[in-house]
Amino acid sequence: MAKFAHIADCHIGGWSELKLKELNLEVFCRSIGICIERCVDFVLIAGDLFNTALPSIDLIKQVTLELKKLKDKGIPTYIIPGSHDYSPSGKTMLDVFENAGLVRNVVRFEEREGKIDLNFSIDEKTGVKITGLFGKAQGLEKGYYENLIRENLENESGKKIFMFHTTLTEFKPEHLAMISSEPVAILPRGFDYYAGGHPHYVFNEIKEPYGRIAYTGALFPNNFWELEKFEGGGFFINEFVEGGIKSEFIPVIVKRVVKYNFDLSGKDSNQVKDFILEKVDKNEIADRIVLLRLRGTMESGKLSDINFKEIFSELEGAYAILKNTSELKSREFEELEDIGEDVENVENELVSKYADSPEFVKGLIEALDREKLEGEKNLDFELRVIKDSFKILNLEDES
Amino acid sequence: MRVRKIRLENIRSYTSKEIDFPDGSVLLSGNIGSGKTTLLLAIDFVLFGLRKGNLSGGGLLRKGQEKGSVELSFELLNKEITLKRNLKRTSKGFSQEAGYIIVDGVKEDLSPVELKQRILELFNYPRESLTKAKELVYNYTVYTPQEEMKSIVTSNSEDRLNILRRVFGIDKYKRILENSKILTSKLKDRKKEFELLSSDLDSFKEEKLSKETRLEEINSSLESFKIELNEFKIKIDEKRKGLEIVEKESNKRAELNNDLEMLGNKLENLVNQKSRDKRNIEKLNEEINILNGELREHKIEDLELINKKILNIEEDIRRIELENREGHRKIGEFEFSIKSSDKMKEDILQLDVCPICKQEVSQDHKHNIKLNENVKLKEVRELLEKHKIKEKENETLLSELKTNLGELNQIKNNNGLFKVKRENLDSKTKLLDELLAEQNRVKEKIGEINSQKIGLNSVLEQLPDLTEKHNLLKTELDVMLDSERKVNSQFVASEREARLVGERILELKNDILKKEKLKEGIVKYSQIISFLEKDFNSMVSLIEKQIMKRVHSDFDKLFKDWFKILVENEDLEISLGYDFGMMIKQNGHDIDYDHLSGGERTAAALAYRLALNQVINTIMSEINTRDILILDEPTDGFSTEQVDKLRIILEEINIKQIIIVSHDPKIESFVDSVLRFEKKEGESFVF
Repeated sequence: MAKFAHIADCHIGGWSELKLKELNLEVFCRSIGICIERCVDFVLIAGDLFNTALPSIDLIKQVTLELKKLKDKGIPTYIIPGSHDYSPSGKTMLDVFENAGLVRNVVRFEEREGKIDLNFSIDEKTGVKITGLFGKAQGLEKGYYENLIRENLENESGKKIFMFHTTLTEFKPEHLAMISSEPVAILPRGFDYYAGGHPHYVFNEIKEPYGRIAYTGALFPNNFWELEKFEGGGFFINEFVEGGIKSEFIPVIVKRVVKYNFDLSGKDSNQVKDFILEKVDKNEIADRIVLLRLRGTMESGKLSDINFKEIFSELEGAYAILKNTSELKSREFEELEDIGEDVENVENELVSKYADSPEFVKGLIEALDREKLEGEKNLDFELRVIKDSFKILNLEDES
Repeated sequence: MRVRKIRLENIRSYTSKEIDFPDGSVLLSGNIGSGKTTLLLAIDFVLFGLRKGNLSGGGLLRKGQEKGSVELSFELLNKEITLKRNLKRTSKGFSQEAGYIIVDGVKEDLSPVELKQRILELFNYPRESLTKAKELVYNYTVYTPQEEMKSIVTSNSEDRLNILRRVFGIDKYKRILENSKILTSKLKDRKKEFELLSSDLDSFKEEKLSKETRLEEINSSLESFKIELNEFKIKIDEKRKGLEIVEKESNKRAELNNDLEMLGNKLENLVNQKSRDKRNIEKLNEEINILNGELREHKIEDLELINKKILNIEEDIRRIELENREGHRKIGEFEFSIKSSDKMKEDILQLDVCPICKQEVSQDHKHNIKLNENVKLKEVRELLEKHKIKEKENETLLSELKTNLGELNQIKNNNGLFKVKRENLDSKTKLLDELLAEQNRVKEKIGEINSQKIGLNSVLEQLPDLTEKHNLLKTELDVMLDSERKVNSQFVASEREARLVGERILELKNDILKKEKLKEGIVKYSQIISFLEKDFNSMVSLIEKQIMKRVHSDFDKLFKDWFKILVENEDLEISLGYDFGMMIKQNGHDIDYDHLSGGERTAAALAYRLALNQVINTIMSEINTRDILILDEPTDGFSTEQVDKLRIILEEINIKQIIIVSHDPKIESFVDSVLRFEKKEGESFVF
């Protein structure tokens, strides 16, 4: 019986951090290796193989090698473009791969009077019929689904797989509640397997009257939050069995993740380094991906006052260190009140509000607003500042 | 401000070119190196002049040319303004020459610095810009070279904040805080000085109290001394009067004794004189008798006759002595002749050959000669005898004459001696007479003095002797004076001490007053220091933070919005940190600016640049360059889609004149006009 791999959301090139970028690629390579080891008949990639339509040449080179391995083993690769590697102009690397015979884009349709008539791609070895629709940024694929001619698809006989790259509202987990989604009804019915991509979570259930609908989640966590939550990713290896499809999730974890979540409330920015280094166990982080989530409201100092370079160099045994400071604030700035629109009058407003003798404070501000003149010696400048200030302070200048 | 026209003479790749600028968005299009950026540099130069490290004469003046200039015409607040700056190559490098500005037809020739000052006034830029190497407000509102914007984005937090403080004109608060530190440090120094100077105030107060007590004691002693001294004065005066009376009496007696003593002395002298005269008279009498005796026995010869005789004898003696000398010489001659003849005779007898004629000497001849010589000898011997007899006679005569002469001389000498004795006798006789007369006078004087002495002695016997009484009074007075001196010296010492103590009290009062003032000063300084360190500095920091927060809020919003337009990447979030640095999150974790792709970096820098422009224009509402924006290669590394999105942003910022320098032809599609630049044989042309 036909055995196939369902991979999605590889987002190769999605990490700008070099080590994570390499790891991402390594996970892809490892996954392809597993597919070969497990002797799958074909491989489905349900969108977002790359993070962009035109990735960098080194990534293309590596991915080409992997796809070539599959081809050489007689394992065809069927793909659909995802929201990241789709290009309306057709300028996408996927087209290059297809033209090179490394993959087959199953999104093949004809437009008739505004309607989309999808065609099947038939896997030669297994006879499994595969079709699907691409994903587009901001859910713009919705229009294609709306105009999809379903009858042909639903009435097609044989083993059928539908590849899609859209979030389905009914199966959306809580953490993705805010992202746009479409109802499951947009999918044509009657397929054996719905190979989904786009939302980064693992889902695999049989939903009547459809069939087995699956999301693999990202092959490798695509961001800090996903690393925190999932630590790693994986894919499905499915097999057509009597009465249905047997599905197995294959986790692919190359590096372990160590997570730290530090509340820096009440700390000064210059205490952060010692605090972190004290809390992080250097043995525990060795060769691991370290996630530092820093939060809370620091008593004083700015985020830029924290020397992360020094902290990271102290933790050099880690494979990679990622930090997230989006919830880290400083009291110095957080507690500032709203002073209205007129920036030019801030000084007057604040002095009038907080000073017991506003005129005196304004005078002192004026007296201290002195700049060293060209050619003026430091000592002379300081004497000038003192002299002018002493007048305001009503002090005798004996300097 | 809106640029109307620029004229370049020998500026970089331009020889002589006039370029008109239309309103709206203008693209300066052309290949790299075709002269587009030169226009921007020329505008920068004509407005603000050369700036060390930023805009050099060497970078502007066309190679091989000695002079160049830029003339810019622009509209500002409905005024037509033309501005010209000149550039010249010199032996030391490059210099700016005087230029001019024409405002609504009124021309002013101005120095390079004056031109800059006028432009700053017209643009209403901060005054301090005049001395700055870089015109920050212009740089971050009108024209920023892209690379410069990337450098502000990537510079360290403090440097960036400092630049932005300057740009936003709120660097004054940092300055105020720095100057507040200078002031606080001075106040602390002064306070320490005051503390040091006033630390001994208590000891001064204690000393003053002790000195005041002492002064009271001294004043009381002084009063006692005064009374005591007055009493002494009265007693001493009385004692002195008594002593004076006794002294007067004593003096009379002393004077009489003195007179008596003087008379005694006189009498003694006279008695001595009398006995001395007596001895002299006796001696004179004796001498006179001796002289009289000697003079009576001696006969005085005729001295003239004796002298004549002496002269005659002396003449005879001289004559005989002369004769003797002549006779003696003759005797010698005769004796020599005898010896010679004897020798001749001997020699001739022994001679055989004549030594002169070498002839044989005969015996005859020898004999003849001997005979002749014998004759001669006889004559000579006779003469010799005669002369010897004469010589003897003369010596006898001479002896007699000398004896006579001696006797005559003795007579002559004796005559002189007796004459002297006579004279001596006369004078002694006269002296004896005088002494005898004096002796009589002395006798009379002695009598007189003896009479006086008797008189004085009788007066003296009648006067009492007061010596003892006087001595007693004198001793008593001395004791009193000594006691008075002692009391007086105590009085003077106390008076001196009182003066010194009084002076010290005055000094202490002044010092205490000063130190109390210093103490007041310490309190005042402490209050001011505390005010500066706690209240004032916090308030200034708060003002700065509030302004920065306000600026940050606007800046952050614009920056995020424009970046999002330029870069559609869900995984990439960008925002502005409180230090105005970019906070970039990709895939949910923080990344550095350097991790962005080239296009993303350009987009971030452009979004930052435009947001900064908008924020400055909003905050500094009074500046007059809000109508113009110059962008230099703003789309470097952009995709076609991103270039398209620049159009959206430019429409949104709504600036009347936007000059874009780009070699990207895609921009042509959304600008109002295009100026094409081309370089042929090293010279730029505009179409």
